[in-house]
Amino acid sequence: MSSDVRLLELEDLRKWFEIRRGFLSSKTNYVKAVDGVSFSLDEGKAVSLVGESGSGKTTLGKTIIRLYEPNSGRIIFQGKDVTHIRANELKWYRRMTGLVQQDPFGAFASHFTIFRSLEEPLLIHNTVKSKEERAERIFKALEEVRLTPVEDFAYKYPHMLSGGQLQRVAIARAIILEPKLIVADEPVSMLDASVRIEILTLLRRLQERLRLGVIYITHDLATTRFFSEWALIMYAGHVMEKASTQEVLRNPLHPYTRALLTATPEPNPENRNRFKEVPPGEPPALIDPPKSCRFSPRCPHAFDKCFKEEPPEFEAASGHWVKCWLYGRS
Amino acid sequence: MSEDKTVLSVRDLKLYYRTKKGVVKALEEIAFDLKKEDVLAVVGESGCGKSTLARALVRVLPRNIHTYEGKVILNGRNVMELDEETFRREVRWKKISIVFQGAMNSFNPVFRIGYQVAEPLIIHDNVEKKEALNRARQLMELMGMPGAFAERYPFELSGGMKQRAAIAMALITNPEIVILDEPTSALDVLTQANIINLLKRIKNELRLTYVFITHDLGLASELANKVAVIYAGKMVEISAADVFYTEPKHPYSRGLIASVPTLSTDRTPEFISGSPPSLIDLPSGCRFHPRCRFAWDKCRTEEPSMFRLEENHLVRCWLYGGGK
Ligand SMILES: Nc1ncnc2c1ncn2[C@@H]1O[C@H](COP(=O)(O)OP(=O)(O)OP(=O)(O)O)[C@@H](O)[C@H]1O
Ligand SMILES: Nc1ncnc2c1ncn2[C@@H]1O[C@H](COP(=O)(O)OP(=O)(O)O)[C@@H](O)[C@H]1O
Ligand code: SF4
Ligand code: SF4
Ligand SMILES: [Mg+2]
Ligand SMILES: [Mg+2]
Repeated sequence: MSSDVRLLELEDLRKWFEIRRGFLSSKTNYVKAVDGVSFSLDEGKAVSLVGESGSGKTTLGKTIIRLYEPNSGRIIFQGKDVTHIRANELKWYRRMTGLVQQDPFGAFASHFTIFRSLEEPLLIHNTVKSKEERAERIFKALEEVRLTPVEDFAYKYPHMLSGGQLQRVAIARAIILEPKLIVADEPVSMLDASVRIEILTLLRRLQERLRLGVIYITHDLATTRFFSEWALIMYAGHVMEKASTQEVLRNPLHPYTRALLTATPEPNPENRNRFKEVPPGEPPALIDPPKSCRFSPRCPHAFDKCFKEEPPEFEAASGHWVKCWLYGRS
Repeated sequence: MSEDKTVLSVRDLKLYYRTKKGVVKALEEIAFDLKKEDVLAVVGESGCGKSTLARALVRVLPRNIHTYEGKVILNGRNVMELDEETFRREVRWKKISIVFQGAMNSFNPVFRIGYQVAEPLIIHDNVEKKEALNRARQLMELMGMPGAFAERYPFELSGGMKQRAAIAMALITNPEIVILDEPTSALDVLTQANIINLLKRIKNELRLTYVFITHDLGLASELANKVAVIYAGKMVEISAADVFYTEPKHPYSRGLIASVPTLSTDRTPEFISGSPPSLIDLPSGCRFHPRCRFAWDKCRTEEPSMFRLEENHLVRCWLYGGGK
């Protein structure tokens, strides 16, 4: 059997966006969208990044595949430091990684056929020289995402496809250069529940078959369980909890993770007779987040220390990390 | 608890849109009864006609209407027969109000939020501005907003706060029935749970009746005591929520429930293959037959009517009536 091969390693990664307050002001502020994230992922495995909007998921995803350059920290891909690579090396890294975005309807040029859209990355990277080979690749990719018969779909325009079908094309485009790592940024949140599972199942099969690393970004905890080995819970630019998906769902430790689990709706007619106990309030602005625990303004368990010092990540159980003072030894 | 008084009955409601490509049969044969304090969840895939139903009930319609007919009986009176002026004066906002889909993004950027929440009172009820603004503030507080937010402009509020304001606006005229079209769908789960808690509390306090439109069956169960499933413009099942969630009957309803991933069970979610038909070019027979794994010859040629399984449980499927 293939042993676990490390694909990706993040060390204390930070991505801050610079913003100026009014053009006369000399003071620069930062939106600390990703503020010290570490984790690692093996080849052919999937990790879920879960959190509310604005928690930094997209920024982290785009930083990992170097659509953004990090402010500090390191990204190690296949043993190679890619944190600040440029030019040809960056072009290579683009081939090794792929992105599927949330909105399938905005993802394709309306005047391009599906074939033409899929041909684009092949032309840019010029890895496949002949027209015949390109066509072969495109048909193979369409086959991989089950848009069959492929000839029927290849020559259609985006407006002729449903959201679910377009998202398959987006996946085909993400894998066409045979990458090793895919970031899928809320790939099903704009689709109906009835097709969500179909798309996620497809992604899962490709992950296993092509030994892809997948970073599955979602705000829906309920889907993580079927589609990822690992789960990272993000809040306001920090990773609050990380462990195997099973462990996070069965034995959630962080108060924020617990709140998310409670809040996730499940079909059950008894729900209407009870209220949900969820913390009030909203996530902090990332320009000036609390200096201590970022969840402290909303946390039902907060105590003195929580308002004074930022907790480090504690290993509460083997392989189960929690950024919360409740799990600190002191 | 629900008492016996029927506040809203809908019969044979039909709405078609006219387009260049043909007539869009967005809604047909819609029928249901609501008692006071009922919450009817209306569920179904994108494009099945949920928002069309919402707009048809409050008669807020686009210009390209082809057909709009049927009965909407409010406290015993068929309001479809009223002219627009009477409907506006006596029904819309006053008896039935609505939180439109995407309401939080529809506020006018140049007016303060409090004024916009008060607007239905000022315009439709001729209430004095100061009094209306006071009332707006009260309702915003009821929706869990700091009263001072009334002075803010839309861009100064988060999505969750704007959505609370949109709900406050729908409540300001003291309606009996409130239509909630995807009232939390663009929000985060914690914000969503907080707003659903408020909607529950307010319903009990003000004894409201809701029509709750959502594509999320989990969320529907947070409020609904009745569930109606729409597929391609027609209701395919309607029943008490208790029955629906434990024993959905229509193959489409079963597929929908099976597609919801759950945290509390080990069930692997399944999907419904295929996609809904175009409402311009509907399939023959049962509209669901191209995706149905139980379909047989009859399903392809004859359209089933609503079969009654129990007093309040109707299903549009040949498996439940009409002989083989
Ligand atoms: N003004 C219009 N003119 C023509 N067709 C329309 C118009 N408004 C809606 N439709 C069509 O009517 C059908 C029902 O639309 P509706 O907005 O009611 O769906 P919905 O169930 O609310 O969908 P969603 O879940 O996406 O909100 C769709 O096929 C839609 O494209
Ligand atoms: N290009 C950018 N410039 C400035 N701020 C940004 C930019 N992209 C994202 N942000 C900010 O960073 C934070 C995290 O955003 P994002 O990564 O999109 O979160 P998520 O994907 O979890 O919703 C937010 O406060 C957002 O407004
Ligand atoms: S550190 Fe304190 S405030 Fe933060 S999550 Fe833990 S208990 Fe709550
Ligand atoms: S009538 Fe036939 S095709 Fe339609 S849902 Fe019932 S079994 Fe399926
Ligand atoms: Mg995002
Ligand atoms: Mg709608």
